[in-house]
Amino acid sequence: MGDLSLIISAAVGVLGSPMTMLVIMLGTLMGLVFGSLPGLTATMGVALLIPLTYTMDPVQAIGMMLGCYVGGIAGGAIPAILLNIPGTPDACVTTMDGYPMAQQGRGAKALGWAAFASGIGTFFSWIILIFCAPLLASVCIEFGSPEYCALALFGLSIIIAVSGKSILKGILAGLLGIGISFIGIDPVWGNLRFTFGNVNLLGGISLMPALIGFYSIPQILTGCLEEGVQAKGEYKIRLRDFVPSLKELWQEKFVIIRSSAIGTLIGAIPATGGNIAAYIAYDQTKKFSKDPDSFGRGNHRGVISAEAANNGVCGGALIPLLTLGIPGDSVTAMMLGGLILHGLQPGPLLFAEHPDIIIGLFTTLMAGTIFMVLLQMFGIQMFIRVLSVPTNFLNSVLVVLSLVGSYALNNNFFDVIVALVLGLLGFIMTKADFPMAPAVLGLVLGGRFESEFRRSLQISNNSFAVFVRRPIAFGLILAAAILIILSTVMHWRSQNRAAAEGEI
Amino acid sequence: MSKTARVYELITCLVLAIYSLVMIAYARLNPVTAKVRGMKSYTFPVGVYALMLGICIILIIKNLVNEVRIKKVFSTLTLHERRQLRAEEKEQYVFEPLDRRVIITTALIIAYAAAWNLVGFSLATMAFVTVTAKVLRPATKLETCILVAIATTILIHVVFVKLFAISLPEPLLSAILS
Repeated sequence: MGDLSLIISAAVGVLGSPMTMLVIMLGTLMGLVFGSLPGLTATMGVALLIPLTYTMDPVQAIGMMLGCYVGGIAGGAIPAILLNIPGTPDACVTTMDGYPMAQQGRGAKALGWAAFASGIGTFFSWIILIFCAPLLASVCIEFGSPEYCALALFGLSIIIAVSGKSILKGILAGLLGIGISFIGIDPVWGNLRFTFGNVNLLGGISLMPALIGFYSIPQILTGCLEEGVQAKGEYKIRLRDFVPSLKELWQEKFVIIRSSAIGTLIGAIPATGGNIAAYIAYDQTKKFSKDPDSFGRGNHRGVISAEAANNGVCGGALIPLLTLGIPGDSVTAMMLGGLILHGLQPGPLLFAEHPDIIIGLFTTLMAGTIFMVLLQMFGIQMFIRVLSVPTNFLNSVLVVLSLVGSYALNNNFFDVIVALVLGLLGFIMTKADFPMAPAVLGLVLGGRFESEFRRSLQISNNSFAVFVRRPIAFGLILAAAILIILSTVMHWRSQNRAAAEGEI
Repeated sequence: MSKTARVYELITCLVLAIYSLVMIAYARLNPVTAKVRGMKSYTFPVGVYALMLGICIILIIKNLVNEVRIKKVFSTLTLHERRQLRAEEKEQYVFEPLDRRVIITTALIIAYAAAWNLVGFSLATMAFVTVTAKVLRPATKLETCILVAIATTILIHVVFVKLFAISLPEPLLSAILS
């Protein structure tokens, strides 16, 4: 009883403080801005916020950072849907169905689904965080190199599912991404590889310039042929065009819950992230769908699954951070620094020593999620206006933003060159019907797969049995094999269906 | 698949094949040895690049065989039949060259990036936005293009430089102001 009253009083203390609410709202707004600008990430947003929180109460500081985190992940969907340019790497999957929806005049609906799916995804992960944190943390702590390697393989197996018309082209694009990830320092031996004596290649190819290259530049070059405005559609939208009805939400309950669960689980595994969660959730939704061919052509379920999963990662990533003191990704690493600055050491003792802070954290995460949805709801009129900007202005401004975004990450002009080179390659590949999603997937997971694979072989004295002996690793490899077979069969069926329709 | 897509596919495969060959050659010319357990530093990457090369070769062969087959079909068509072809059928046989606007935009983007280190971000951005907006839609008034260019530059400067403390290159402006 005493515990319950403590929980209620701490939660009411947070929710009843106008200052705390304002700070959370500002953090969320900043996150949405950072997420929606390609090149600026939630990590950068949290990093810039930390100095502002020095004088704040710890709960306010945590609230502001969490708001920025949640907003930053969700904000990536806005340019992904409206311009086909993911604001963050996590929003790559959202482009696949979000942009076609915007082109069909359903941009507001796509943004609405993205906002609500993001909100529900975070809410789901919030519940799991509260009730299952210790249990999930104990499973994730068992992860060693073979498990991480198997997880990366599982992620890479999705390449087949997102390959589009040709599996061979998808695999080639995926291998290109993996190949790029080898450049730089060997993660196991520490020697330099494929650097050609260039100092700028020592740190490898950064993800953001590569992402801008693969997605943004081809889109700009294709878009410069369009006359007038970006897409047809109604720009004076009503709130009901944006907000999904209760009936619609109920119809999509399985997609939302499944994707949120995938996001939370993936997020709880350190060093994975929203990108892979979104790919896996998208793939699963497509597999369970009665009409898998409609994915990639403006199916709202594609947007829902991607956004519910990448925001589900938010709560999931907080599990190892709070229970074990292990940050799951770069944003939570930044937040770990922020928490330590406020005299809080995440770990098992945090729950025992500062229950008020933990409850405050849970409450602020929830408040940040609500603000994220509300800000998107009331900002929709402004966001959708992007579609009515003449393409000649939009494209020239996008070029500037893309190059500044590439440069901003490391303050390095070399990243601009990387974005341009990969952009031109991406443009040629797009013209040749090569899918871009496998290239990004390969780039994100290729390096991880290689390093964990080689480490696994090192610890097992070059024996592949290490992947069979460990149940989690074996289970993941088995799941990857099943996924590859299922995706290939589905692709083959879809090709046959398309051929039959063509004959008719 | 359209003739245009086939040509671009061939170009992509050739570029990627050359890229993987260069990487394999680099690995062979710069071997790294160490007396430790496990896989060697270049073994895994070379395997990936070899696989990439293999797929490129398969796609190039498929592309060329397809090309010969389609050319054969096209040669059997009479002049009248060729004229009667529907747009989507025509796509299979006729290559559509890149639009002039795409080539100009590409050139402008490259020139813009190069101008960052010569005249600086602000001046290059103003010139780039003005010229690109005018080239892509000549009907737009020059004054509007200039106004949008100035507004874009100021906005990006405020957000990125003032707010987020990112130092964009300004060699000319900093030389003038100092």
